[in-house]
Order: sequence, then structure tokens, then C-alpha cells
Amino acid sequence: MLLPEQFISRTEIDRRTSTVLATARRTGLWDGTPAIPVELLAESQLGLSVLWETFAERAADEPTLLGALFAKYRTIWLNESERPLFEATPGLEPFTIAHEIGHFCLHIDPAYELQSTLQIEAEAADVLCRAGDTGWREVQAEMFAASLLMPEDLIRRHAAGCATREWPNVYRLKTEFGVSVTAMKNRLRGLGFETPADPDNVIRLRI
Amino acid sequence: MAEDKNELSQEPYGTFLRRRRLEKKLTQREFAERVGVDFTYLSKVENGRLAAPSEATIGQIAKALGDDPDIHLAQARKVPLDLRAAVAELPVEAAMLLREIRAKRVTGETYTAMLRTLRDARPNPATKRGRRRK
Repeated sequence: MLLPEQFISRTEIDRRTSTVLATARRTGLWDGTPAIPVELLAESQLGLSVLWETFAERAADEPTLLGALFAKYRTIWLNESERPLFEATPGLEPFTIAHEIGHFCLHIDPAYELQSTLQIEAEAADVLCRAGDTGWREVQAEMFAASLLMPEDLIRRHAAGCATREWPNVYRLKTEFGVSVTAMKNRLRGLGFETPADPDNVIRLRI
Repeated sequence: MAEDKNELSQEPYGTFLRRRRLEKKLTQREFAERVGVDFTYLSKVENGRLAAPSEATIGQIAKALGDDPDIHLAQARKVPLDLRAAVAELPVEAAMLLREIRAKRVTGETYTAMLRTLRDARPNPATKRGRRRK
């Protein structure tokens, strides 16, 4: 069911998200303006279900688990025990959903016969989680989420003529696109825009 | 709404509910807010992780979707309280009639004809309060 890990270029990821968004436009699910209705897109267009439920307990030293894709059952599972974090961090929920959509679109063999009966407890295999992992699949899903929620053409149109190195403008854009300020800043930087300076003690991971 | 009162879909109630919500282009949060339930609860019902809601909640769900509550209750395989009370008060012939209906798997046309007959019938004062035959 899982495709082998492989390199997928940023261009290819952008092409995949463009296809998803073009379909959403054609079917009237999206009106072409931010924010992208990512939850409806997952459910109506891709046939994925969204389930809020508490994950099994993890050890204290393990990373926070926000969501997972149970591909076999076409289910995006959001960790209910992290609800306070989701609610305190605007943009985290759509980004997590978009990340799981990324796994579905990039890493699941489309030929695999999916099932509708949810029997999650018994399953451990073929589950992709958003938990701060840095494997290829996780990085690609993060890139997919950024591209889906902040399409390049929309960002360029909305950021045109504004000084993106100033925080108020980054905040305005992140509100328009319904993402976190970190996600917007990273996306702007990735697209070659100037962004506000990081404090000296931050080490950036460039993906 | 596409559902015919006489033709229930075989899908579980949660699947039916999600389909109706998505036809209205509502997210779980938006819809849960309209119904007055928590969105996490709604997600569990839709995914079959919890049983179908109570009759009162199903009524609110149907109202929020602009649907007939009877269709939602039937889809959830629930008998409305007023019907349960009515059956309890009816004479045994009524139970025989219901069993016959079930056995014959009657069509919508037959139901309509029976309804017409009943609506044309004069009420019997002796059975107004539901006399049960001993």
C-alpha cells in the first residue's frame, strides 16, 4: 500500500497540489481565494474521513503526535488529546490535515483497494503520523501541506507590493491563508521573499 | 433530499450523516455548532466509533440539515418515542397489521393507499384512547 520512499521534487509537489486545487475549483468546492477549505477538500474531493480521537499514550520523551493517516480506511485521525494545542495555535489543524492529505496523495499506492470499515485498534502498519519526524515522507508531506494551503500564485498575488520582512504583513498574510505565522514565514522564505529576521540563537532547518 | 421514506439506504447512520453534511458543504465544526454538539463527538458518530445519537439529537441534526427527522430516525434504526407509545396503546390488530406490512414488504404505493383509507375513516370513539383487547 505504501509506495517506496523516493525523491519527489518541489516542482512535482506543486504540480500535484495544483491538480488538487484545480479540481476543487472546477467542482465549486473552492472559490479560488484564501483560505483553502482543506477539510472539505479532504472529505468531499478525496473521500477521506476526519476523526477526532485520543491516540494511545506515548512516552514522555516521544514527540507530540498531532495526526495520522490510516490510509487503508481513508481516515485522517486527529489526536483529541492535543485539542488544547490545536485550539491555541490557529492554523495548526488545517496544516495537519493538509499534511495527511500529502501522505495520501504522495505516498499511498492509488491502485490499492481501500476499505471503509474502521478497525483502527488492530492496525499498526501503513500508518503515517505527523509527529515531528524528519524522514523523507514527513518532509514531503510538510512541503505538500505548505504548497496546498499557500499556493505560489496566490501568495505572489497577495504579497505583491507589501514588505514581507515586516511582521505585521506576515501576520496579515497568515490570517488570510488560515495558517500559522511560522508556516507563512517559511513559505515566503521558500518562495524567495524577504522575511523578518530570526533571533540570533535560532538554527534554521532548510527543507 | 434524495431519500425516499420507504427506501432506506443500507449505509450506517454515521456514513449517511456525513454524506448529508457534505452535500450541504459544511465542515464538522460548522455543522456541530448548528446542532449544538461537540465536533469531536460528531466525528466519532460519523466514523462509527460511537452509536447513533439520541432521538432528541437526531431531531436537531435533521433540523440543521433541513431534513425530515423520521428519515434520520429510520436510518439510525430508531423508533420515535411517540410511535412506541402509540403502538403500546393500540389494539392487537394493529400489531398484526405491522407484522403483515413487514412480512409483505409493501411498496410506497400501498402505504399511500392505506393512509388514504385511514384518513377517510371516521374515528371510533371507543378506541380513541387506545383500547387494548384482553
